Amino acid sequence: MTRFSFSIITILTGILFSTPTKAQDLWSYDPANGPEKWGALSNEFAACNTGSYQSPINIEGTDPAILHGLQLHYNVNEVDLRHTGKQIIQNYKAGSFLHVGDKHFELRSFTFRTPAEHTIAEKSYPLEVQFEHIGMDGTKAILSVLGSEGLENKALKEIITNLPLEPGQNSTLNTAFINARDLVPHNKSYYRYNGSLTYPPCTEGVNWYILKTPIEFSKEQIDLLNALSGNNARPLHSRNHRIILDTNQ
Amino acid sequence: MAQKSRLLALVLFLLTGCATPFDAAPPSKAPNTQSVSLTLSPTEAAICNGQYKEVHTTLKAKSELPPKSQLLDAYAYELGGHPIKAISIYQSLGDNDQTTGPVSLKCTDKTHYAGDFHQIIAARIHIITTQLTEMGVRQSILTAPHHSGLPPTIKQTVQQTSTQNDPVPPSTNRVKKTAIEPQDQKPKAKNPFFKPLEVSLPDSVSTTGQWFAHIASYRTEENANSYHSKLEEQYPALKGNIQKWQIATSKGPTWRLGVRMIEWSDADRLCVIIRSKEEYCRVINTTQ
Repeated sequence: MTRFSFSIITILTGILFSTPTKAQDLWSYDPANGPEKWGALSNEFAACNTGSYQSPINIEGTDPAILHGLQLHYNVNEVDLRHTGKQIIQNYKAGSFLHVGDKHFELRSFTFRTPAEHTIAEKSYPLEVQFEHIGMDGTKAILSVLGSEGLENKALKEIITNLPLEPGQNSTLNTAFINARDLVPHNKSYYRYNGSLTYPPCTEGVNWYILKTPIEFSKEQIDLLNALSGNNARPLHSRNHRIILDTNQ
Repeated sequence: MAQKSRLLALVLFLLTGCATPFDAAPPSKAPNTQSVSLTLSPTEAAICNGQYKEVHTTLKAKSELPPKSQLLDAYAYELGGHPIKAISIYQSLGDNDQTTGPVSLKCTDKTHYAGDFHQIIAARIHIITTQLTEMGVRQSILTAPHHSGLPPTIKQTVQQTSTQNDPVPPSTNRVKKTAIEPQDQKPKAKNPFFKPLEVSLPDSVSTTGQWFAHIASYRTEENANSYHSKLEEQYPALKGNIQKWQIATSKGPTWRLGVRMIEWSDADRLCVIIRSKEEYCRVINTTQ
């Protein structure tokens, strides 16, 4: 009986370890399987190499326009942080929305990028917070807030207290709460363009809203996020004659 | 017989099917350098090769642009990812009832547009409007930007200082003697709380507009041409819309530079903004 049980365990272990690695585990920001190679790592990631409208980009040569204002209806959410080894993600429960005119996008998560992925007229920032939303029709919308070095950010201070320090760790607390709205500046004038996810599978058709006003984080806060997730900014891509709108609404 | 005619028409339609008049023309990742026909003008060739900025550079050097060149300019702005600029040119061309007839832009591998001038303009405006609405532009105020946007390179700041070579503001009727004479540079006291408004392209800009927001005057055409680009640098939002207008004065011909508009209120608003920068601007009725 013991021998039989051992055999079962051996078989199960074999099955477990022979399971093909998920495509999402293949990519990283290291040279071996970094951004330049994402497209070749899996068929699912082909858009990373072949896409015409990829992100991030340098925001320049914008067309001024009067766009719908960004209406943020974000709720307070329990701390639900996940350290993937590539990024720190705060998941968000259903019920928080970004409204842009008659379009409604639900907030799913937000992540930190160090350094920032987008540049503004070739100016780089040390941090970018990206709020990922999804519309009723599956369309993605990312609201991006650039972070500059300055005073300590109190909203981030709350998150840092609960950060999972090791890759693979989660930090889910029903006693600690955060509101994504606290990481968004009051002035919501923005740049608007159509791009992609900045990580595999690099899916295109993402509505990008990049706020013009950066918010401040202390050097220690930026360094801590960078120390945890490493440099996780995808290199800039060609604008490829895309429309970039610029509104002061 | 009628059936045969319909069939013939269908065959002809299919044969010319590639000449889609209102192709939305999504930008290609790499310009097609093989697609240039020898019969194309340099401007058309630049569009075929995806070198849209060259189109503007080439056309900017010319003083008076015929409507067909302006159409190419607008089309290059559109393909280059600058729909707001494109639509303002299309709209001004659309206002010009004197321009009619067929126009086309055919590269060897693609027909960008072919058909009646006004129909093409209407179609381009429709395509841009659809794109912009999809991106969240409020349709009711589609072409009324309130600021000038980020430049392609590092942001330029409006120069408020001037040199001895600066254009001299023309006079009003009351001070004709100093109409186009150079003025001495007098240091102006700066109000620390003064914040100049941003110049933006008015809605009713039109090459045939009645109201001329007059920015500068020159005694010679050479000087007018020379300072034309300087004014465009000074007011980037007006780029491509500053026109030259020659008039006869008691002292001989004078070349005025400014922007024509259909609406007096737009011209007046533009002048108010320019004057807020302590620069000259006056609205002139071109029909008088």
